[in-house]
Amino acid sequence: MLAPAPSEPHPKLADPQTLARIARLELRARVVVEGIISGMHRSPHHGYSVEFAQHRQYTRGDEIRHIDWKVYGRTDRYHVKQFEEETNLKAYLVVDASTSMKYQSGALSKSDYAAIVAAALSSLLIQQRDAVGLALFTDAVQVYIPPGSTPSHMRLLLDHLERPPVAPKTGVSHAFHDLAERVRRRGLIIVLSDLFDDPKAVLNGLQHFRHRKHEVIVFHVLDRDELTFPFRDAAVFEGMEGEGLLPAEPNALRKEYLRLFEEYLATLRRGCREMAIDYVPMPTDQPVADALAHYLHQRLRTR
Amino acid sequence: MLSLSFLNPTYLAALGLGALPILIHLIRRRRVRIIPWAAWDFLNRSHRVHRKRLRIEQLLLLLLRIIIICLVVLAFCRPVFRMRGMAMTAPDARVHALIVLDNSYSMGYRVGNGTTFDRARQAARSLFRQVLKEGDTVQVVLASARPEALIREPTYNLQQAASAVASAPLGDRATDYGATAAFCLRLLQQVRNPVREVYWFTDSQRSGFEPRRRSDDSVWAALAHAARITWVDVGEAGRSNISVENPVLSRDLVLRSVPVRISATVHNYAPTARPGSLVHLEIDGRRVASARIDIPAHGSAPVHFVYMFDTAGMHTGHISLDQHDALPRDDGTWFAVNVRPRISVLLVDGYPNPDPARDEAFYLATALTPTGPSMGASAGITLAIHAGPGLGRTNLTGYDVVIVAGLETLSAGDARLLATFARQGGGLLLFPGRNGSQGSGTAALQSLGVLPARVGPRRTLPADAGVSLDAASMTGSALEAFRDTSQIDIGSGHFTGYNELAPASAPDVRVDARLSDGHPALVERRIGSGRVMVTAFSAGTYQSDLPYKPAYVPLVHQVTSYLAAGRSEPRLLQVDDPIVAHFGVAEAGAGFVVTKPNGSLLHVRGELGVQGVTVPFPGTRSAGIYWVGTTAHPHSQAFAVNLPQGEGDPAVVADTAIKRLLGSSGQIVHGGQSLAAAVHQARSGSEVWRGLAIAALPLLFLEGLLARRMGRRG
Repeated sequence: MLAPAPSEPHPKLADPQTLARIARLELRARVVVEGIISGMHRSPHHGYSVEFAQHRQYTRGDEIRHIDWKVYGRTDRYHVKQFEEETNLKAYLVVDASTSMKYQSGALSKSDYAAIVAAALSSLLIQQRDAVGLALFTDAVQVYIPPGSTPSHMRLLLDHLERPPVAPKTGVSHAFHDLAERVRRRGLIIVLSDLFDDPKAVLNGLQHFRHRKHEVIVFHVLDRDELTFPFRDAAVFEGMEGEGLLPAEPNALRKEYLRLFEEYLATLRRGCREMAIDYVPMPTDQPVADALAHYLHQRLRTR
Repeated sequence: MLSLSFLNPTYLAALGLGALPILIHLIRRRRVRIIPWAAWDFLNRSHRVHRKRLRIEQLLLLLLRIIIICLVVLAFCRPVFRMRGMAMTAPDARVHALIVLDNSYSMGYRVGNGTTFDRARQAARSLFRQVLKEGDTVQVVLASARPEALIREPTYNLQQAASAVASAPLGDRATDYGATAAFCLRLLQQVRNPVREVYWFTDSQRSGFEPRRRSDDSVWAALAHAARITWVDVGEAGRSNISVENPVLSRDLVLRSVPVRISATVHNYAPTARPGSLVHLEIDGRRVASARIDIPAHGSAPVHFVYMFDTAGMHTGHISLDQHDALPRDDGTWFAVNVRPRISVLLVDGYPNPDPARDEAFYLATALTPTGPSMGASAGITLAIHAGPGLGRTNLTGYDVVIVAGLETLSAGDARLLATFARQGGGLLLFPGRNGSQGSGTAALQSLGVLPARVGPRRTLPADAGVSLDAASMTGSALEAFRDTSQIDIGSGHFTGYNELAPASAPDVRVDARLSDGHPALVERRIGSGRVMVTAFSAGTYQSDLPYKPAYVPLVHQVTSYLAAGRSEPRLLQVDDPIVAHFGVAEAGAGFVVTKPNGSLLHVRGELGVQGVTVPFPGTRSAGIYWVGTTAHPHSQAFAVNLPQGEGDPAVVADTAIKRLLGSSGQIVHGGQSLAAAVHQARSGSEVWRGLAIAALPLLFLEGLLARRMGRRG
């Protein structure tokens, strides 16, 4: 389970401009993770992994190396140590790989940003011996990697995050339903997407995860332009998922656009709250480490 | 109709700038940025909501910008509106002005301390002060039914023209706009200056356009083409007037000591009735009678006086209102009458009969001289009787009327004598006898064109199916007095036989009376200056009981005095009617004078003829009594000249009707408006650049609002 102590992340290394100058996703993720870790009060390297639970009397078949010789010296009986496995969490990173995620007004596109966040979370989770899986989706699940916790698994995740299969999406919910059917064992679903779909359908897909007893976190990755619609002059807008061209006067449309967008966000927020899903807005101009650390801090405080 | 021109037409090319917003729009459209967009659904939905409104607003904005640019450019071009069809008059151009002053008597309507005509003159004089300048030429015309030029030849002497206008006289004529327009057109055709203006000062009286002639429209069109007409209406709104018109004497020949009815018509041109209006009759300058009459609103009422002249000779009269109104000129009407001491009548008895009851002439003689021939003077008639068929050797000189009882007894020679007698002003009354349709005299009179009707065969009716004279048919002045049957019932006499009359088809033939079965009873014809009447019935008791009826005597007297009037000159005239006075041969060497109503004397020449000396005088410009006589006796003959009828009606014609006549270049200026300003505008047109600039301001403001709304400035 993620359990970092609340702290201020490293401001310089984790901002999007800095990350944009780093080519490899692995390094980007490390920067973010270091940024998070540098602010924690205790190290995730201590107190985790395997913890002692109790002694029991040796029986045939037990491993000789598990015999506690100190107890034998005091009691002259064979006892073996029993350990409790704590890191049995299976996390699934559900990352949007559709073309809409390619929108970029600042240093990072939404897909870059989502990949960094996904990589950082993978790194954190695997360091805690948690298993991490990956699902890349467009209108369906394009790539599915079952959870794993080894360094080589981490490498595999990074490879796929760096080269996602890009395609237009027609429906997020379809991918969610598909994934919910695949992941049988209860786990943590971390969604990284702009969720540009009918909000009811999106919530319906998320509901499916909750129905399977998964814990769900939604990182809603949005570009600042999409939140503010800052355009002034007349322009022709081209749909990134093949919708076509639309000549428009942005100033004339802004008010209505923002109203619709806010309505959409409010629907998502309300739906997530009702389903006990953590909804985390992630504008791409926000430092990644900040966003993650802030969320983790919030999460620790509330749980 | 207005036309448009520009003082700075070269700037019109800049109107092309109006296309600037379109060009900018197109350029911006070409340079527009393409933005890949992920949140498509929100953009598309917001666009869909406002697409229609946005398009309209964009178009409106584009249109506004084009209009604003065009307005500004047009303002720089300094557009000028002016009347279509007229070239603009340059400030230094020499203008020919034809000043038309309506001097009809209705212009004498009192307004404040002056008259409408004073207003017209004042307005006309303002032209000389404010509009006309040195180098301009002027003609001045007095407008009326007989327009005349005060200044016929175009003059550069504006001072002289102004003086002529200032001293222009008010006339007594009626208004006739059509005649004046034709007169002006003739004057203008002699003017070479192409810049011609007509200034018409008038009260816009409706009667001036009546009666409308067919040629009027073309005259007005030609005048409007020849000059720019400025119609200056100086009339007072809501005018009212009462006029006394149309004096009528019940007898054409007035005899001494014989009562005569004197009538006039009082018109009320006002929306309120005038009950109990007092009207006076003056004879020879002395008030002799008064009467009260009720005059309805917008109507008329007759006024009657009965008067008996006790002396023969010339008399003048005046019928007038007791109280003067704003147009006093027509508050009275004049008449003149030559009262004769007696009428000389020759009665030709074609069938003398020792039994008076069977002698037609007996009844006529008795009617004409009720107290016997010796006492005939008291009835104003001197009667001579010629018994026997034909005239024999009777000399007709000195007789006023010849009455023939037994038409068929005349010879052809008699017919020629009677024809001459009638042509020289004598009166003929012809009663057909039992064989009235026959006889050489009848045929001769017929062939000489003297008989008013062909005398047909006798028609005998059953005793119980007789006919009588129809009072209602008596519309002519001879027998009009008998229409009213309340005092004398002309239909009381019955006829059981009569000669059928077929009136000649000539314009001077008139049926004065009909029988109750519709057949002509009395037909009149004017021949020369005399009058001839033929009857269908007998003068006596043959198939008639009329001589026994009370109506017989007045009928004979009325007809006789009517026929005798042929020798009298017409003395009731209208303005501009010529006076023709007759004097005896004895006055051949005398000098003649005309005394006008204002008392001024004018020497005129007489023309000697067979009948004596004729003195013509055509110059009856003013209403009133004119006297014609020799220098020794200047007041020998009187003539009453009255104002034209209808001119007293103050109703005005609508501006729209006038505008139609003035053409596209003409204009109407009313009393309250500045004539100089109106002329200036007509000459140079109206500059409208200020209006355009002012119009652009709110549009600019609107554009700002719209642009802000669409976020172009946000």
